[in-house]
Amino acid sequence: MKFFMRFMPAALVSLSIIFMVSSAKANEKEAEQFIRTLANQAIQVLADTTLPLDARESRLRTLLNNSFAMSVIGRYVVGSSWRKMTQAQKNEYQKLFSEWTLSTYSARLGGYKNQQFKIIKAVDSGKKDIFVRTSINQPSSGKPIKADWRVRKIKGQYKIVDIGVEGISMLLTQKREFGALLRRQGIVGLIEMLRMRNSKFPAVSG
Amino acid sequence: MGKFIKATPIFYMMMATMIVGITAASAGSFEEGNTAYQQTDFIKAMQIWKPLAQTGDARAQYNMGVMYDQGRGVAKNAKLAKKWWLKAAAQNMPEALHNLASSYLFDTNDANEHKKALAWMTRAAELGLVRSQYSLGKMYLHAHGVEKDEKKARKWIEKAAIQGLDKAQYNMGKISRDGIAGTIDKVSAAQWFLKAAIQGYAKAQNHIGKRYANGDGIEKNEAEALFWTTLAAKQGHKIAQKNRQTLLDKLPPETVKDVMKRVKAWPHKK
Repeated sequence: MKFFMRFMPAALVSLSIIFMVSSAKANEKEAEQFIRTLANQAIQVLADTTLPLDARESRLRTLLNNSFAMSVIGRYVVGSSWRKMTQAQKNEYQKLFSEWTLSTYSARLGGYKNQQFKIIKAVDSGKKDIFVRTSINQPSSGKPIKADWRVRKIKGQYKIVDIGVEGISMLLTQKREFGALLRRQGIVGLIEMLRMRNSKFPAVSG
Repeated sequence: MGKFIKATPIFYMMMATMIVGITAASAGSFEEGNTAYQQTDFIKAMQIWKPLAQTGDARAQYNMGVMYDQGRGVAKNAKLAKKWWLKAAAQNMPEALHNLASSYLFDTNDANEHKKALAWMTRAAELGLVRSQYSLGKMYLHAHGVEKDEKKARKWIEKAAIQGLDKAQYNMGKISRDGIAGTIDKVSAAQWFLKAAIQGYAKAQNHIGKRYANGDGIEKNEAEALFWTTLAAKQGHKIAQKNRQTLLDKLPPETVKDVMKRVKAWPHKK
């Protein structure tokens, strides 16, 4: 028995390594499919022209909200300030941050007429995340935009934890910007900034 | 030999008028631009709106600003967004005033820029925009871009609350509860929380639930407390979820059943 106990931990590790290696390709395929499904759902939501664009985009944000690890992202970008927030502030901040992030990135990346969304490949980072590389053909410029979707399995479901647009990480960009604002204006300032930015009016129709 | 037309100044004026006329006739209308925008053909929308914006159409100027601000059909460009919004703001377009203030208040520590943001937001609020009234109130409450002024904060938040903005009604509940720029008025606080709660605002639903549970500013009614607290809990309000459990443990099963029927029938969807 003692003999087995000595070797058990090593055996378990070997087993898990084998599983990791053999499941890596399946994970990459799953991650690709996750992004592909999301893109198709987004296209369907935006294609419903019986609704004004604002309403379609509001539905798109609801769809995207379920696909992003918003609480993970939100906590990361405020760094140590998270621990200093009251529960009410955390709730308020997460709600506003989610709304603002989704508006910003969906306007930047999606919803254009004749846009083409192409999945190039999925790459296992070797840690816990998979990068799904995509190319988004924007009608406004000849050159397609490269967008890398960093996905992670959280409680059995794939979630997006970062987007790299032309190599620039959304997480790091936001962390830098929010860090500067937090130093100048504190937590209340950050919350009010997000609230005000979310309160901006869209295009007028007449 | 034919007669030559002399190139007089009048001739040039006539040619210029013809050219402008032809250009105007072939340019799209604002509405055509909107159709393209709604179909997410942002490049076409911009092609139609740009000449209109250049000739002074405030709506087109404003929408150009939105497109640059959001990066629709063009690369995001905060400077050009500001440029177009300033033109629309000069014509007192309320949305342009609001968006200018909202974009630039937190971007800088420059006191002069803060003064401009305050001026823009004040004009938008005075023009009656409910969002601007609320934002202006918050600016005074939290001293963002302006010195703290509770009286002005209350004035503007109340205007937005009277116009029906749920967040403003909720904040008026807190202002009345805490006696900010006025006396503590629990009855008024409960009424404001109730108005916002009826509109589906979760935080207000939790607050009015507590007030009904304790008879605080409103007649005690634990069934009503359970109703509002349940609605807040369903929207994910964590404190409401705890408060709800306390009430469930306390109330008779028949009362709980009746309340849950009402909750199910509650029509409000946010």
